[in-house]
Amino acid sequence: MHEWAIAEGVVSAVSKLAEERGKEVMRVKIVVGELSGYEIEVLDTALKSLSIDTPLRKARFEIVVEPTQFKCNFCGFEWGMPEVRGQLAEIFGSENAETPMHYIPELAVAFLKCPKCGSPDFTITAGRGVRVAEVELA
Amino acid sequence: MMDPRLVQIQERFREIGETILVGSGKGGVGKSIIASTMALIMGGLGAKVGLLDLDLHGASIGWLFKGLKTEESKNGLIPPQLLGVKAMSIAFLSEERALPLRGAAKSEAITELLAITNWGKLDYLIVDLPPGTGDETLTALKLIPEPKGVVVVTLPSRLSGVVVSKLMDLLRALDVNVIGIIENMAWFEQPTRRVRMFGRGVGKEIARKYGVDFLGEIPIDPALNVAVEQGAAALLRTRFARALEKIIRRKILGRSRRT
Ligand SMILES: Nc1ncnc2c1ncn2[C@@H]1O[C@H](COP(=O)(O)OP(=O)(O)OP(=O)(O)O)[C@@H](O)[C@H]1O
Ligand SMILES: [Mg+2]
Ligand SMILES: [Zn+2]
Repeated sequence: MHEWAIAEGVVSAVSKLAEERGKEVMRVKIVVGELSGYEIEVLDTALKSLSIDTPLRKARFEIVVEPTQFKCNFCGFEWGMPEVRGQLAEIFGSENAETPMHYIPELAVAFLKCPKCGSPDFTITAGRGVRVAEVELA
Repeated sequence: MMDPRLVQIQERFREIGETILVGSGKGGVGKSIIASTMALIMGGLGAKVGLLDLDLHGASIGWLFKGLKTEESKNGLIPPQLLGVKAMSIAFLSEERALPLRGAAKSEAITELLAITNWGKLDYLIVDLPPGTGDETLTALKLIPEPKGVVVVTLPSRLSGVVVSKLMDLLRALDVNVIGIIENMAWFEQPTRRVRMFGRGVGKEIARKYGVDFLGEIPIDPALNVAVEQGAAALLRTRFARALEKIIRRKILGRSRRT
């Protein structure tokens, strides 16, 4: 649902860069954390619609989903989303449900636990939010 | 590498007239109740007001805003309203669960909260800071563009003075404007006299030391907590709220620089 908000952030940030350099944007690579739950098609549509009338009008958007990785600060165990599907289903009714973690990935510590020792004290080491990884200007 | 949230935050704040942070450095001095009541009073005076709770650990604006829910929109989360004041807190999303976050993760959470909240147009945003001078406060001071300043709350006690001075030092080092000092729980009203448990309070002293305004005193109001449980309207009728309103009218709104 909030793909449009982040797309606006991406388009504004990249536009600013392009305008500063007086160039057009040919390609943008965006890395999206799995935990943010963004629908890639919606994000892509949002990016394209918001790019009309900006230096990004010709840009090709490359969206890469980065798998989320967690690391327990208590026992050191590392895991990914597949290991907590059961927990998600239990709390939110379905492993694909809309969750508050989609808005603020750090909320994971409120809902999930280390699959090995049960600690809620863990860190998201990869695949949390959205970042612009590469911009190609011409 | 670019962080689109930072641009989002800039754009959100373009719609916001003035941002006033309420902080202390010290815990339990009344920051949250002052921030919440301030937002309600300013809203009652006809301004469009938002209240942002940056305490990741206690649902700090707590009672008053309990059970409220955000609404999804294409452009972020729309804060729920209480007497026309829009309020946002991570507690609305965490469903009152504990958030055992460490340093960098706290900064991320604050950044996300600032980026995702769709306030729309506001005259004032009141920000309730958590105690201490940690990640939440530092992130807020870094990301909020040109705040009007910080209202610093102290208790009358010497100890409070020492802790509050640390925040004052930080604000000075970061070149953040201090709107002034409020001394909360300054005295207790007895039928025949005012009792000052801590003697002459430290509020004026801190203000003088740092060359900032002393905004005023707020007495201990034994009826405050019952009123809070009754809700916003009851809160606004307390002696506490009247004392705060006087400060707001004289010292905060009186000298607003409208942008
Ligand atoms: N002037 C006052 N008279 C009576 N009670 C007060 C007064 N000011 C604050 N309180 C009460 O003191 C308690 C602490 O207040 P509050 O939660 O606002 O402090 P805080 O500085 O935000 O605390 P924290 O550091 O935990 O965020 C609350 O129960 C509040 O209602
Ligand atoms: Mg508080
Ligand atoms: Zn563990």
